[in-house]
Amino acid sequence: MAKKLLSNGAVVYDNWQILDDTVELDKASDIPAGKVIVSLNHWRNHHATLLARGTEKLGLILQSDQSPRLVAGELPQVSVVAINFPVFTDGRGYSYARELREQLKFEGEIRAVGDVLIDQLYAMRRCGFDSFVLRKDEDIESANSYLSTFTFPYQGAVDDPRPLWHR
Amino acid sequence: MYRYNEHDQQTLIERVAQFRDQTQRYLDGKLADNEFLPLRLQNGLYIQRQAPMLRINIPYGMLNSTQLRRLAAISRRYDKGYGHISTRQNIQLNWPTLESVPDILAELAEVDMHAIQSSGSCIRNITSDQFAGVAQDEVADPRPLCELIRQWSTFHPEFAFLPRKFKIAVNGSHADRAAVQFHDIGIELIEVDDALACRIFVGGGLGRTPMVGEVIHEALPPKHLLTYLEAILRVYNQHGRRDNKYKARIKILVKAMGIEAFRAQVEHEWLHFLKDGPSTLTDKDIAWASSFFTEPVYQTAPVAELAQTLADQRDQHLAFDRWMERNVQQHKQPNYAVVNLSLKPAGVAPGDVTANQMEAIADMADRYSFGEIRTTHQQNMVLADVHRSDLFELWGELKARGLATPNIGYLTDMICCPGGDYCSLANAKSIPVAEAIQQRFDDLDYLYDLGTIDLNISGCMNACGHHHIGHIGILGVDKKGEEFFQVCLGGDSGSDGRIAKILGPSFKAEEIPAVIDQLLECYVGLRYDDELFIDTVKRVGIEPFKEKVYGKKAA
Ligand code: SF4
Repeated sequence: MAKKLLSNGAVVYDNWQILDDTVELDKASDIPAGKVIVSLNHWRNHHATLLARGTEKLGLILQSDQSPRLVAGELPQVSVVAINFPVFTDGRGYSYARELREQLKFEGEIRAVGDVLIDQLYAMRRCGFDSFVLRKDEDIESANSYLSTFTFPYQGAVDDPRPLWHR
Repeated sequence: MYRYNEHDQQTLIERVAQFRDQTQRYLDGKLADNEFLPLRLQNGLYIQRQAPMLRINIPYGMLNSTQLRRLAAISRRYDKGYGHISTRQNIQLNWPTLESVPDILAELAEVDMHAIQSSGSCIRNITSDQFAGVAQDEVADPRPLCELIRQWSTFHPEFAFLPRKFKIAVNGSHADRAAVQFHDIGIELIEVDDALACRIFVGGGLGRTPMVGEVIHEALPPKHLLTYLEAILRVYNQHGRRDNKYKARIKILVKAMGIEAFRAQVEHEWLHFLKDGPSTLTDKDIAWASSFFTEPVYQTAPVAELAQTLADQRDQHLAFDRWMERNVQQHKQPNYAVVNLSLKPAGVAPGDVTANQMEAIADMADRYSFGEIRTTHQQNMVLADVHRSDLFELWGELKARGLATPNIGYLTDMICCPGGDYCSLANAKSIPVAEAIQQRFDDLDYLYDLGTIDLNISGCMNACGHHHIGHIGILGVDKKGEEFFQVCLGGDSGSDGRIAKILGPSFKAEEIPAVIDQLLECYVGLRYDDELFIDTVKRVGIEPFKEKVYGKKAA
């Protein structure tokens, strides 16, 4: 069965392949064809080869101890940044998404991967995530409604930088 | 006090719906224990020894009479007819069932109350000075800023899963009644060149590793408060330790980095990315928040013979006189007084208040104090705006309800956590120790002679009873499965914040009253004139007390 993800509120097929550090890429020819999201290590090791396939087919995956500031200059070379949640209670990824949007002005897709559960979608969306690869046992078909749990958020975030009292 | 508008109300309705759905999914087995855990904690729900415990927020300790009546009704309907005021000014119910919690939250939402973020690894209820707005020594009313921080921190999407809990306190008076130096962030309102400023402390806290907070900003203009807080939280969210829950509080990060380096990171984040951003407070925003905390319509005309009548009443009724002396404080408006309601009579767990008492207090608040009530971090309640000509009558009513014990600030007005009777983390039962002390020291004349003494009791290292900052602190410890109590001395929660020192080897519960007795005797023998207990301890150190309790060490 093809993998699905929740992207901008719709359930769509996921045609990206994630190559994190558990996947060995000894030589450039090990990199599969198609759209790939690679770890920072792979990115560094195969930078030239990867670049050759073009921005639309490239993404980076950051672990929860890898700030996007590490790749600030390279962001224009990718169209997706995936942020991994090793456990859903590790909240560092929320700050990373905001940094990507607000400080590094990244306009591509920010994707939440890993331990991504429906109860956290709302906060993730507000921080700038726009796509979500939910954990396998989560019901992706019903996930959409969890993106908009609250109508009037108090504080500014990526979705609306103004606090409620300025809206 | 702050009045909810349709946005606030809508948010609460959505919160109840969210939690109802989460609870249902949990009960249906669709949400695992560990997944439900942080969700319920962020709704104040613990699963405790006896039953769940629900912690309901009282933002910076402010309640109106309608809310208090609703709390009474809820405690009767879903619990055993009483509640417990916590050391963070909240109220806890000890016996609700898990299934009933969504309904309780729905009933709370109808009166603009909730349990949002009252527990869990997130920004908790903001605490403040229980005398805000009426204190004579006030620089500025802290509540408008408290409310803005409350709104800013409610469901803050970036900080939903911090490394650990995060507590913020704001104090606006010369005396620090909010223990700002013992919070993750403490904010002290000060005046600099005729303008209001915030002195910001970071990295204070109790628990396993008690620390006094350090100043991260000497004088921040209030308009920058929220963006600056955001910068601190962002640095903490990214760099606070997540591998060890005992090292996860911001105090450990500040200590590890050093305040200079920590400040440099915060300033970098703030200056480059947040300062002057959309969350910067305008004068209008602050004026809007302040508009909810205007003075009630005080009756300011002088009342004939008021002073004389009160003096006569005090002359004729010794008990009233004592209550006036101890439980009633000066108000910035000379016709008015601040009345402390003691929730520490002998024989009652400190901070417990029954449904009947809550209703009576709500009625009294309506009649005598503009319908508002405050809760204090010493686990008492306050009617903050009582006309002096009503004091005698109010005293009679309070007395009839067991709320006029004249012991505010005395030894028996102790802070005590729920401990082993309720709390699943406890090493020891703190409440029976509190009760034993109350029984032993029920002689009011002796208590009067002793004067102000903060006695704080925690059932374990988590220090919910703030034992480190008690003049006398008592901590429950576990020794090979047996309950023991460690005694410490010389803590202070005020502006001269200090952490108590451990006296020596721990004691059995039944030995504690006698140990306290020895400490007091030692103090009485050493004090100069009317020197306070804490001042004597500061002057002579803990050695003489140690000797008194443990005897002279063999040379
Ligand atoms: S101090 Fe310990 S025993 Fe007391 S309430 Fe806190 S966690 Fe429970």
